[in-house]
Amino acid sequence: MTSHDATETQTERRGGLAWLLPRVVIAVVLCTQLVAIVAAYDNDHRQGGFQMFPEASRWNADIVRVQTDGTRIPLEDNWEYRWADLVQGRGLTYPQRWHHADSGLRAQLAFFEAALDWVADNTPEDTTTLYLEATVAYLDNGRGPQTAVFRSEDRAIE
Amino acid sequence: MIAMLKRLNTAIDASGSVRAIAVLRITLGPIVLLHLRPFLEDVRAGTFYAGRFYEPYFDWFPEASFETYRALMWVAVAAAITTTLGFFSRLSVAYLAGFVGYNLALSTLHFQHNRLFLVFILVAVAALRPGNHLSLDSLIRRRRGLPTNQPARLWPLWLLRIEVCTVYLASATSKLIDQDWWSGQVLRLRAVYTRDLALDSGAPSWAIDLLTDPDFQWWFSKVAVLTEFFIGFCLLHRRTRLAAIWVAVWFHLAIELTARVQVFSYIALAALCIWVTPAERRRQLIVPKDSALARWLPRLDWFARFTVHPDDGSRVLLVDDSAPSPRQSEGRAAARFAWSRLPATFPFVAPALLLRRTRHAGPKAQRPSSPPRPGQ
Repeated sequence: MTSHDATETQTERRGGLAWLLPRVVIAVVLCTQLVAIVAAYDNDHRQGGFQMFPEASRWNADIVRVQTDGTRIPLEDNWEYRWADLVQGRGLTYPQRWHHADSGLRAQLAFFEAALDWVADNTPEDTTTLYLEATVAYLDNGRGPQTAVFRSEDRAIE
Repeated sequence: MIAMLKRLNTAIDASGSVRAIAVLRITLGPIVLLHLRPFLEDVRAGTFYAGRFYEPYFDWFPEASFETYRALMWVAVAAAITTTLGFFSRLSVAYLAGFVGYNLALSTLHFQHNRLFLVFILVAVAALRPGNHLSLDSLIRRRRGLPTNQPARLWPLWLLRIEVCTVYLASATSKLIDQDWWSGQVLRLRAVYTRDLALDSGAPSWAIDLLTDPDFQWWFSKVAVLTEFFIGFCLLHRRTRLAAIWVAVWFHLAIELTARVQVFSYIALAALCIWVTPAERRRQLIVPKDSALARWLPRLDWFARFTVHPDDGSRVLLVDDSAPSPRQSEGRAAARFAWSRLPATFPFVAPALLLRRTRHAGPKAQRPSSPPRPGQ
């Protein structure tokens, strides 16, 4: 709003709710937005922070199924499922390939970790795997590669 | 500071024309459909977000069954169409705001900045009487003899303007304080990683070499960050607003050509409508009957900023009542001004106007001695 806009509009005196409501809405929205922008720096997915094109980081993951006897089997060897059917979008569909972490490395790894847990919880026909384990390699804006190991929660198998 | 707060306090109660918001509303239908396309493809294939990995924000958040989600989606498709047509405009835009927001909140995987930005725009447009102009609603009201084109309360518009500037400034600040971004490392690596893809799609090798050059990216990253700051700050001030809009147009087109940003470019370009002064027909333009301006201006003046008076004479005369003090200009200067204020020709004509102003150190406009009349 500028003084120029003010010359272009009509203003009438208002009272009661018509006066109060817009002021409350404006104050709440702006305060929430400011808090969201600051809080986004401490948040995996940076919601509300509008940190666009944050990184040029890349990552991939090698996933194995760890059996109750400790055997480690590559994810899709004789598995009843396909990872790409269970997990789609956000660069998670083919984790074995190197991908750009388009929302930043932290967001990408948080998604991937959650995906491991979800797959472990939602593959009831797999009756032999105790947990999934992934070795993630990543380049943090060109630095690295570094590696990290993620594992899902233990599955309840009979 | 106190004067500014007093002005803001007054502005909150202001009413004005929302014609430009109607133009924005028309664009929102196709943009929302484009945004919903991947979700719609899933629904048509008989699945939805909960059929594979997803991550709710909150356990208590209500999740729809597939049948309900599908029904809500198809209603959203219908609402996108009625939004563009302007039929039950406010209800349609409000539904879209609700559905796009709900869909965004269903899973962390759905979150993207451009989608949140779209929700902001939809909510504000719903609050701004979006069916007042250029709509079936207004046509129906006119046929019934009811008043049309009524002014709307503008505080949602002011709020949206601040939000839009906040988006640019937050984005620029995050890059400014990130050493990798500011040094050019992020942009250079992105060019390096997409080098083969760019070459395969026909990009010239000299351009790729330039974009992967660390020295070039050291400078270019600073230009990119400062451009965002420029847009964010300069949109707020009347004197710099046109320059900011012009930069924003090319900035977003460049992003659309070089990156995959879902619907962000389209929303950001459409949202430039919110910077149009909320008033109609405050510029009187007398033009020769057979001139290009007489033919094209009524068709291209989507924001209804001009009242055109075709005249038998040969000169162009403009009286601008929308400036803080009325101004008058004529001849080529007036024609150039008119072309520069039409959204379709603005990106091409505005630089010429700016260059001319710079060269002549100020506009040649003058205050009118008396109101102009056609044929004068």
